[in-house]
Amino acid sequence: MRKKGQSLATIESGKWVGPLKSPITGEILEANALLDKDPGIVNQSPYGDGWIVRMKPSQLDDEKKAFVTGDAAVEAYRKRIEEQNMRACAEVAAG
Amino acid sequence: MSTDTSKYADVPYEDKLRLFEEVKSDERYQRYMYGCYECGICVAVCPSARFYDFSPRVITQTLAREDVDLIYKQMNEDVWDCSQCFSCNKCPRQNSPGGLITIMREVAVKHGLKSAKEALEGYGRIIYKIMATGTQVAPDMLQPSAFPDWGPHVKGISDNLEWWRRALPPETLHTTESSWQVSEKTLSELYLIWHMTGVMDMIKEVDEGLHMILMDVMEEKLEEAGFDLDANTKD
Repeated sequence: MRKKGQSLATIESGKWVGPLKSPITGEILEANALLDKDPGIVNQSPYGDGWIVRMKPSQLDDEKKAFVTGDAAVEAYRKRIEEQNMRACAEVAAG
Repeated sequence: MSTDTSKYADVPYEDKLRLFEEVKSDERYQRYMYGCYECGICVAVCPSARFYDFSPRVITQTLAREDVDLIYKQMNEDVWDCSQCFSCNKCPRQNSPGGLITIMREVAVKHGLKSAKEALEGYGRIIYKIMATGTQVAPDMLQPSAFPDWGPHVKGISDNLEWWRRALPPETLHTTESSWQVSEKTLSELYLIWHMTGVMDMIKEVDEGLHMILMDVMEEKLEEAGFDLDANTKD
């Protein structure tokens, strides 16, 4: 059982390491074993083969209200990219 | 090394004073600070002074004068330029500028100063490896993928790692495999030490994400070993 905000996975880069925080409270049903062999799948296919865990949510109705989705999410990301001066992201966004 | 403290003029004097008092009340402080007569030997032997705008003498002088504003500025900037080699222990007055900086850094970390967070940001993965496995980074970890920020020359080093290592007088590659063999008992003891001595609290202050994943790794081992986490931590 994982609460919202607790770690689901550990993300490591060259220097940085940190948690992938769970957006929801629930039970972890399955972890994607493919990622052990090739974590790059997360980048290549985030909505397909690159899934990380399957969860059974327990408080989805409540927690869903806090989700930022659609255009609002795009705008929130844009703001964050600007605030943090993430140039690489800005270049990707500009195509 | 700049002595301009105007950047921190907005920080209340009482807050700065409290940090200095904490540095001064450290039990090591009296052994590291006897008084400086500005001979400059510490600067002459300091590798950071040679390559950066940094002076162990100025740090020691500032503490001796109890210049609270400047001490605060140094805790936010200059103390992170020290390489902690302790060459400055050559001080004829037996001060330890490097030791004083250790204390200043520890207080900066304990209070989660922005400078501490920034200085330690690049070491998160190393801290995670050492604290999760209980061992040092092995020599063969010097690979381009692990150190992309070191630039293209890391590839040259890693390609010929064995030869580079053989060129060093002491044997070094012999630890590559053995260094990762930490017994379960040792690991549990290390985890407990880090919990009980406040190291985990310090990490929480500077990097909450790192603290979270370390707790995940440690909790299970400590419970397996029969340690009562709740009784031994502030969490």
